[in-house]
Amino acid sequence: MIQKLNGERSLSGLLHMLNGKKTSQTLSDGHLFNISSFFGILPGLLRDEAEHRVAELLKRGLVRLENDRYTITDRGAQVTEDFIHLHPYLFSFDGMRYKQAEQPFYQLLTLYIQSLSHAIRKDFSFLPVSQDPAVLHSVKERFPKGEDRQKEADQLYGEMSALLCEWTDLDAENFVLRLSRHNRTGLTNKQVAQALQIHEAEAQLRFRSMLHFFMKRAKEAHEEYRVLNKLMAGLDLDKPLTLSAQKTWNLLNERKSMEQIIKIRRMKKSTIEDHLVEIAIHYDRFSIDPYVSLEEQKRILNAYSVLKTKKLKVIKEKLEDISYFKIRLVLGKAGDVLEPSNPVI
Amino acid sequence: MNLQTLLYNRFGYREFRAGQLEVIEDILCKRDVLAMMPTGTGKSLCYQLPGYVFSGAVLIVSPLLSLMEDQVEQLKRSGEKRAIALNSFMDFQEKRRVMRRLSYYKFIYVSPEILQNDYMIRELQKLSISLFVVDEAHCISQWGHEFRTSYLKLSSIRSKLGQPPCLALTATATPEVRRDICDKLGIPSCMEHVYSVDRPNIALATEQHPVHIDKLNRALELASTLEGPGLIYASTRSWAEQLAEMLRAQGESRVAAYHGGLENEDRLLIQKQFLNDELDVICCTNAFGMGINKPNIRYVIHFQMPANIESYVQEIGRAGRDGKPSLAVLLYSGGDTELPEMFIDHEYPTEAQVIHCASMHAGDPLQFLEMLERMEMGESARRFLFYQFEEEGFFSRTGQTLPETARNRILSKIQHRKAHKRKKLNEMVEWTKGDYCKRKKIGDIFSETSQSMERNCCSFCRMDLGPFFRKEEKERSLEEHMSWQKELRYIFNQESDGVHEEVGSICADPANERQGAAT
Repeated sequence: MIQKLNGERSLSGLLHMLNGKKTSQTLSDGHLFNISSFFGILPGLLRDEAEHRVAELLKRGLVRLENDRYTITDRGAQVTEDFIHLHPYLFSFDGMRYKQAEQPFYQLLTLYIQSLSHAIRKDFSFLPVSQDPAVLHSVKERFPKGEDRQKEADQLYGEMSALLCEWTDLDAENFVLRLSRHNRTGLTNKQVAQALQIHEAEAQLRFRSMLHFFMKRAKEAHEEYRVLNKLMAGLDLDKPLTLSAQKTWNLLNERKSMEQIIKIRRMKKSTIEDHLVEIAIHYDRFSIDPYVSLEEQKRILNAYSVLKTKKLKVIKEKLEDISYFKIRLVLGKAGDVLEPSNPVI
Repeated sequence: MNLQTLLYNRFGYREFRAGQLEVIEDILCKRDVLAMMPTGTGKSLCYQLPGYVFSGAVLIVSPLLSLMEDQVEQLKRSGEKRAIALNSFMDFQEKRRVMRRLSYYKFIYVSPEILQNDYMIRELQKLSISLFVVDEAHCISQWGHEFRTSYLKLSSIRSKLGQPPCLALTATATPEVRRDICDKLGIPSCMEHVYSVDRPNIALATEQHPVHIDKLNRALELASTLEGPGLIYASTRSWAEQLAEMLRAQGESRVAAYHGGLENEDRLLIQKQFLNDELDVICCTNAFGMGINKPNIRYVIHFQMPANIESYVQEIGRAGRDGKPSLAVLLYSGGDTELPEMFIDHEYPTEAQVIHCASMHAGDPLQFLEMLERMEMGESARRFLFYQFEEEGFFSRTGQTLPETARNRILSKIQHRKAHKRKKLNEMVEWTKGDYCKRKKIGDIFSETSQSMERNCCSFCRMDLGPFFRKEEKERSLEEHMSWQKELRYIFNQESDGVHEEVGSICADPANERQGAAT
């Protein structure tokens, strides 16, 4: 992460990203620096703890501190590479896309499996593993009729074993042991970690990566993963905008102008500008031309390619007559194109 | 249909249990009733059966979400679909769906908090409510151990709903608390049915240890030699965790901690593991218990004493619901009262906080609440202070401060309550140390007569722990789990050759099914 941010954001920015705090700033940062996937990877991480960890990295010479910004050292880069090598499951983690959906998805999946596992054995007197009425309702809605249940179990078995096979035994066990079934109640994260003798945080991360992987693969192949897709239908996937920006986006689609939106939503201009930057990042069909002239766009991109930085302040110094808003809009729109084919690490 | 037939047809029992019939008959005569019956003796039947005699709905006020859901779950399992639990955790759509067809339901469980909602009251007013039930009614009493201020408005809510007969249910309440319950619910001339809190099958042991470490060792020793399943109550989350950790380190692998700090899903999983005998010991705080109905708990150890004897009786009452011999052990060592004393202080606002709040100018109650949240006080202190200010009419005099007389009334109330709680704590300590029959003494406190028993009465009379130890040393092998491939095959009933396990004929009547997904 520090490597990716390349000293251009503070520790706070990093922390917001890891915690999964959904602000315009984190969202556009995630996009700008290609670290969206780490969004919300450590939801409970506290500032003290993060500072402590970074201090440790400093001591070990893996990062250095200049002007209140951290950058990674060569040794740090090497260690990072080794770490990723040891923990390949991190590649599947995609917080920006799946953080909202992971909990609801798992709740549905685990209750569905528990119900199925009992129903195919004609045992209907078990205690459901979820008490959330909405989850119970969804499962009931999707549950197959009597004679189709074993068929459904066969299908879901196929889907899950195909996906789990691609992982290490440790990852697969870490997932399967949590499920409740006929004759066995699922384990908590702590209990799984104890059983597999790994750290609780690691168990949690491996588990969440697996969930993201399930959702990603199921989305890619609807036919193959019929049951998983059935469970995922209606979940909040691929909705990267903050709620507030979503409302602004809806108004834009009603052909309202920026000034009209400011009036309708009774918000500050700067807030709506934040929204537009977010929208520029995520929606290709959103044109920034009405807000920045083509001439200005060109100048901003040129400045970026000369200065090789995404520090807004540095670019702004070069282009005094162009507003921060316009610079952010253009950089946001350009996004990945500025750094093509970089793997997400 | 006579009551016996109704009992059999609806609930599958041939006989009423002690007390049930008396309570039910009074209810059917539309009398207000206060019933104190020990946990596990079928309190809920006392309103469920009349529900089938009355034409209207039964409204049950219950303090705990898990308790409500458990009841609804049980009703559904017995084939009654017209049961619903309304609570503030329901999402908006769900709530709307339910509210639209509220008149369909026979048994409506609500939290006292949700009854503060005017919309809810209006909807309930459209129904005909035949019986108003207050479960865990000791919560209404300022002398009960779970005082909840929103319970205090139940009396006025009942009158808004057409003053249906009221049934107050509790498992443990001293005469003082019972009087207070009738008072607060506005049922001064109700019929009182009080059944003994004594549980003859639970042996009562108290042990005093010179220093804390001895007590700790003793707790660990007991938990690894007594026949389970068992509970160990601790007064803090951190002790619950530590005890579980230490037991695991000793090789007891089927142990878990349970407390309010766990994620909701984890709490559910641990409850279920315990109910399904997949765990032997749970180290818990008082967050564990209410609504958990496990018949075969063999022992309850208290690593720290609860704040009063009512809580103690309630907590040990979770042992031996199946009627078989069970054991309660209270461990005590010097300094054990420090923590509960601190809790008592934290339950109320400090004098300075009351004076500060009294000097504020009254405005929007919500803003006042927000301000309280920024002050250093616990949840219950906040609720207490807010309720007292409301009672004194603070919010109806916008712009004014609280008069000095009102302020002093509140301050003296706090003094009064703290003194009372200290008295209850002392009573608990005194009971622990006292040289007398523990069982008789509990009877005295609850104003009933309990007899000492011949065998395994209590640590004062005669006590033989022998029968409670494990008969054979269990093998201490680590829990083995199957490979994930095997596990997955089991989950989905897949045999290696693709043939399915024989599971009997296809179920013909889907109406009898409960697919885990309740309606």
